[in-house]
Amino acid sequence: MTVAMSEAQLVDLVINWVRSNHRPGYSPNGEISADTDLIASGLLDSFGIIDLIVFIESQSGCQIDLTDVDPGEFCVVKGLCRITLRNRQN
Amino acid sequence: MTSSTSKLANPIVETYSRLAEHYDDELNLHSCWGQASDKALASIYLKDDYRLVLDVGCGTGRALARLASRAKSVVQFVGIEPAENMRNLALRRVQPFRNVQIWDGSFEHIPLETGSVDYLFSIFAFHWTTDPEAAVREVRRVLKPGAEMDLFFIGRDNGREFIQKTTPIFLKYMGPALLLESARMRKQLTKEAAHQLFAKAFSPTEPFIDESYQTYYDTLEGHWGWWVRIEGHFMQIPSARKERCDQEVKNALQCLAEPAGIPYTIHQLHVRLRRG
Repeated sequence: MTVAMSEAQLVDLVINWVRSNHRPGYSPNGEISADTDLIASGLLDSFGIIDLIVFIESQSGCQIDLTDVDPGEFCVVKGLCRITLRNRQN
Repeated sequence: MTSSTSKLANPIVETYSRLAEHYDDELNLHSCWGQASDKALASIYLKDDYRLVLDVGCGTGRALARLASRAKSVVQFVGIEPAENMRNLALRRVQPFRNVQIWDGSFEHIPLETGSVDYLFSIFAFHWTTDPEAAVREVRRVLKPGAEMDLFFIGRDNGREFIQKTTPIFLKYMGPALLLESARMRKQLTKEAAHQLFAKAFSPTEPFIDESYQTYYDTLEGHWGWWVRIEGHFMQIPSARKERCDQEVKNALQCLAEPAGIPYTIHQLHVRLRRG
């Protein structure tokens, strides 16, 4: 699927992916939301983020350029989705 | 055997070479990696009919020297190692053994003839390969039909305590792009991915894959003794910021301390190839 997606749709996709692919042995405390910090929460490590980016790129059909990306935005579900959508617009 | 070189412009190889003289320090030998390596080596059994034994990523030659010291002289040992200074130390160590040679090489470039090796082993080196598929093809190429193999390497969930504590710090100092680039330097496979990789290359022979998790406890100083060797990941942090980053990492690791020490869990994958 490489159709144009809204931010809300992409956020849902990412949350569902994280629910199925978070670090083994980790039980998320509470709900994963658009505001969840994926790294600080311990849900994903750097390898997990790589897998997630590969997934997002396959779903959104665009390459994510992380050069000069704000680390604070990058870690949060909705921030990562916004970075993706900005890449598509560019 | 053929001679060949493998000059890899690889920051990990360069870091191992730069720090080679500290590789056999007591601190490192007693670290989690020293203990896990000894355990892997102790499990290696050389059969009487092996004639050529290959150690890929032989480091300073400790395993080769130990195996050669108790093997028959008809067995030829070859160690390959891409880090020049590690290789030089290995050459010095194996000097008393006329049946041991040390060559420049790596998993992707093994300077041996096709179908020449009876037994291949490697202790905690395969995860540094730059191209796992090419590496496994090269391993398959040099093995004789019916050869045996033991590869020990780290799995996907290795060092989970450290990774969780340090990833936010490295993200802050490196930014997302460099952090992910550094993570890609290690090929940490799941058991399933490793099985797929080796089964495809060795078909129809079925490789066995054992998976284990072992937690080791050490002091901060003890862990730091090996941690410095993965600095190749972090070379792109400017030196002024690197000091601050190191300090934050040390503080974060100290927070993990339990009565037994600071834990580090090695997720080990062991790929075994056996006859029949």
